Amino acid sequence: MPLDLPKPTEFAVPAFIFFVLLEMVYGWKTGRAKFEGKDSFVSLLMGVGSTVSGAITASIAFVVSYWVWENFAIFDLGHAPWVFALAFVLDDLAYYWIHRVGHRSRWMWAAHVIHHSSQHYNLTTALRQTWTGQFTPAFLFKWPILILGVEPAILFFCVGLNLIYQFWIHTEAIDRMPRWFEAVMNTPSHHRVHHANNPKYLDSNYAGVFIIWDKIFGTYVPEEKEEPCRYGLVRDLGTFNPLRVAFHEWWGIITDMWHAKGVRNKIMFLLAPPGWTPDGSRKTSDMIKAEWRERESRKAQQAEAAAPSPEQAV
Amino acid sequence: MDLGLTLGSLLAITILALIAAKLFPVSSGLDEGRVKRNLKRYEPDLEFGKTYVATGGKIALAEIINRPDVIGLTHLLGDRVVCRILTASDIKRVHRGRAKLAIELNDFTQPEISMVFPTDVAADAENLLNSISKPAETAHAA
Repeated sequence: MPLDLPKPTEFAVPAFIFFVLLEMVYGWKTGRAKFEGKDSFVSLLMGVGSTVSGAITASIAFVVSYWVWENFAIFDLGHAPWVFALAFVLDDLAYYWIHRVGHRSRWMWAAHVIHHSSQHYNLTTALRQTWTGQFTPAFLFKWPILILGVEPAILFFCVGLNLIYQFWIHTEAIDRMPRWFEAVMNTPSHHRVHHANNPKYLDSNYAGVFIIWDKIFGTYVPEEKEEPCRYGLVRDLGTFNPLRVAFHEWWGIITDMWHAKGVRNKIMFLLAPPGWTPDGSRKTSDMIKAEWRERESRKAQQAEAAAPSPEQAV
Repeated sequence: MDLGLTLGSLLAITILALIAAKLFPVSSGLDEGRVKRNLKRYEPDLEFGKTYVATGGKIALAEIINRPDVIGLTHLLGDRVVCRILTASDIKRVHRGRAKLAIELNDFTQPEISMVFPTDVAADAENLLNSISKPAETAHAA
């Protein structure tokens, strides 16, 4: 008999609405948070759509997860509080890798891009979620937790808590948290960097709850005052139509695969990083960063050449 | 999935979006400085020349000095600017009306852009568009 645990996100919905309203009023009064009506509507609608699409496929995810756990679990970890704590940490580690691959492989990016498609960064952005996450291999990253022996109900509960944690970090209203907190936990500052499309900040800070994963795996980039975050995609969307927002990257994959020559190129359009093309006519984030580094190095050389030599200075 | 919760959420998000629109009205349109600044951010290696802002301040075209085979397009979406660098292959068709220009693009999130330019720059803006769109792709709007 599966463990019957509450769904944390359903309980959190009224709080989400309250805090979005609070941030709006705070932003209106102080100018420290910005909204736009249509953008907010689309973000929130994507959130509702995500809940609906998740609910439609929830039973499949439930059955498959229990099948894996019942047939392949190495240990019977039970339901003790330490199992919940272990599951929460392991789920966050799995989230880090899902998220990282979600930015580095177009198949998973097609689902995740929705969350990054707003040029605003506020609490509504947190709720701008995918409708198509089930059509990616993301769930495979969670299987090791089930195979270790964590019951799926506990894992689903932790996934809900993880999502709730990530809500409050989508804001410009909070500058920095205390140093010890910034060192261990994901915070608004760290996550602003993740949502920024400045070349310097691309492909960084994938953490869900604990920023330590980025520090361990080399993807941590701190927010710098001299480089204010600019939010959105490297090629922003030109629409507020929720259907086009939800499916634009999937459509891009299908059309690219259709027109691609050879099986290798077709597969690469699905698996390679977003922006990959056989002829390099579009840019991946690595290419954008390389161009940025080149510009920065040129600027530094020019500044050095323009500066007076020590002999001239005296 | 609870139907009541879903319907309640839809009502709540509509109200929140209306409040956002009221508290944060979109006041400024595109001007030359904003067009160039955003295009430069989008493609830092390009040098932008003359810009043509359409009536209403939502769409603008920009000449690119160091790449005559492409032009800049900016589109004000809400209060934010969406940039594209257009090549001939990005344009499916151009419709030219009396004062209106409409471009059909190979772009899933903005398949068509319509613009009306002030009369003093309309011819120049159309010439800029002609510089990359093939005459064969032109269709006259009814």
